[in-house]
Amino acid sequence: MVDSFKAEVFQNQYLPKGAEEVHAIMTVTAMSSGATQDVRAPLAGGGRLFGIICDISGSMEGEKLVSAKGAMIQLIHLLPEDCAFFVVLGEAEAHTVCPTEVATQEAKVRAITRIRDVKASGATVISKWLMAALDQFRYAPNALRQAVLLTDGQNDKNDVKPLQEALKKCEGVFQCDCRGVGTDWKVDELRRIANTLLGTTDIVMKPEQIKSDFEAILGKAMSKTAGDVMLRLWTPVGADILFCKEVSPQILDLSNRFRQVKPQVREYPTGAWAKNEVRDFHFAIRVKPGDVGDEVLAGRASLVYTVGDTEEKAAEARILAIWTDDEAKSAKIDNVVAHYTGQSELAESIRQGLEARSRGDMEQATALLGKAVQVAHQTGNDATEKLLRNVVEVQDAEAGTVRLKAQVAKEDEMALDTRSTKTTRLPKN
Amino acid sequence: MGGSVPAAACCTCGAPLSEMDSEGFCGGCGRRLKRPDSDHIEVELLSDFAGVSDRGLRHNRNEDRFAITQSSDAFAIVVCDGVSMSPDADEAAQAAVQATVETLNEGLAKLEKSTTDLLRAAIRNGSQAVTELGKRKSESPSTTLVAAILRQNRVTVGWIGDSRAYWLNGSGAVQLTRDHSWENSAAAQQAGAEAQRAANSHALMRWVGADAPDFEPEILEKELRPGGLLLLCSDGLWNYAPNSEDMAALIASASKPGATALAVSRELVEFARAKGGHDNITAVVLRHSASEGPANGG
Repeated sequence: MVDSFKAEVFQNQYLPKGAEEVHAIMTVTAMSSGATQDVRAPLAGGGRLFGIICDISGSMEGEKLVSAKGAMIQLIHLLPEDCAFFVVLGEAEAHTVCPTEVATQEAKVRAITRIRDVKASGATVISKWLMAALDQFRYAPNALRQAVLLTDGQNDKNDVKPLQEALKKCEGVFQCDCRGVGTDWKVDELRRIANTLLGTTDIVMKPEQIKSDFEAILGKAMSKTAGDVMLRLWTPVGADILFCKEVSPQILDLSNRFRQVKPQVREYPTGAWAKNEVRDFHFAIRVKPGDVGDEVLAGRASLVYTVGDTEEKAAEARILAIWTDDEAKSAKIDNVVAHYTGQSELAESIRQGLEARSRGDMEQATALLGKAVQVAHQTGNDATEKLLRNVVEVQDAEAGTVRLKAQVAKEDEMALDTRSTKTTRLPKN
Repeated sequence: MGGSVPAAACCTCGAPLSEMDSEGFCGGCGRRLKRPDSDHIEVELLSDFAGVSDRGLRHNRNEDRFAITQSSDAFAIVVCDGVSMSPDADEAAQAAVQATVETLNEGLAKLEKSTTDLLRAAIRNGSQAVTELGKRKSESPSTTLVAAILRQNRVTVGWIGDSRAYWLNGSGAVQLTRDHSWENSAAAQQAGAEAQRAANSHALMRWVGADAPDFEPEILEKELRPGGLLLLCSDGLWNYAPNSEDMAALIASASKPGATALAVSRELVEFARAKGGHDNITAVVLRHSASEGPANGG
């Protein structure tokens, strides 16, 4: 099990006179001492609870529902027996067809029988589904609480506000990966849910792919052994945290997600971690500019988590600012910071480029997506470059010269949109 | 609470000193209030045997470390210069110095091995300690290492990297070590004089660390005529006196009449700082009297 973390900081500590912005990347690795996790009853102070939340609204009728049922049934078969689970099927109402239960053979059979009988009908009111899931997760406050949500359509127009409220209530209670099947759902909507619930968003292009996708999600969820890990950031009096983002494996802006622990201390949620999991975080902190020769601690970051009943703090890392008149030192940009600045720019260019394209501003879209191709190419983000090539014709990747394709498959555009936040790490040399 | 004034306050923000963290940063404004002790290290074992290590002027911390020890008639020195391109170079230097000097201490007390074998074993243990450090990190902290044993009229020197040992007497200075630098490599010799002047001529070819090409130190043993001075130093010093002649002149000017080994070491460090102090500076001095070994008491 994960019982410790280590951290490394990458930054150029040297600032020119008058400068006040400090950037640093912190690489965090979850470590394991080799001790095995206590075998605990899943619902008695520990263990795991995994929730399946699946759309059964009218639009799912046919192949999508058949595939989704098949995927849910397989997922239930694969659940380890020391894990608890529940199933919420959603339309205009939420149906908790299998309330929280330990994944025994009998419980699995019961759940599968109920899922088989379900028919598609009704609207898509996601707030109701999330509230039903929240009810289940409240049974297991100390378990690792994770879920998957699958839908194929947009949320009901009257559910905007209730969804916001439901998300506020669910935030911090459970994590949820979101999947959209087909092309009738809205990327922004699903991404907002996944981001709030510290999960991933992706498109499942064809119904028959739901099964393998669910399997991957379950595998990842079951690998997690430390839950509710917080990133704690101390900053000096008078400093402003400009942003705090997870930047690898995906870009997730945590800036507004903090809990103020003390006047100078904030905690950001990072969810659950698996053994050997590595993530990178980007901090930007504005400090009061010092005189040449001054050295200031601009930030101290650590991870806070609970082992048994005690709070542990690990991986303390220092972010420094040293003012110098030596330009050779202050002009250098740390290459890890530069890399992730580029990856954030890449994601932003794609988001804005696709937005420009959909409102018909082709000039703007060409410029932004061209820029994205250039950055993806230069930083070796092959996966994103490939997705971009489905949307634009690349004439010169190095220069970022592209032409928008006249015909773009909707699923290609959505895949680019959902996956644009996935980053590459800087190759070690 | 009400109206109580903290005993000592931070220089600018008024936060109490009790909130200073372990590295000396103020808990309020974050300003560095205290430099770490490693910024300037002085050790004096005898009036003829001492060393100084200093952060210099341009580096943010001192990543040089050294240790000196004595066991009956034997004197031993270890100097390590953490490679500043690697992470936690100070930890690497510290680990290497510590493991090497521990092995030397044990070995010199037991007298079971030849001096050469002991030095080899000690450097191997020093290397091992740095490798272990690298296993716990995603990158490999690394360091140079030079160690010497002086017993009666014989000096044994072992090294990996470009920290140096010199022997100085009335007839001048001899550089006992040969830097493991690109300049001295076979490739550079073939490339000729032009290449030797290239910017990377001082690039390290060998070092101690998990990513090091090998751990075998180069060992040299030399009989000495009694009476002289043994100096071990990091490149923070010798960069300002690269040739043996320069070094001989420097040591001569630092060795004022009656000066202790500590005073000489301080002078050498001060010289490098006055020249710009671009790197961390370490100088360890062992004076060998004309009769036998360092004179005690001075």
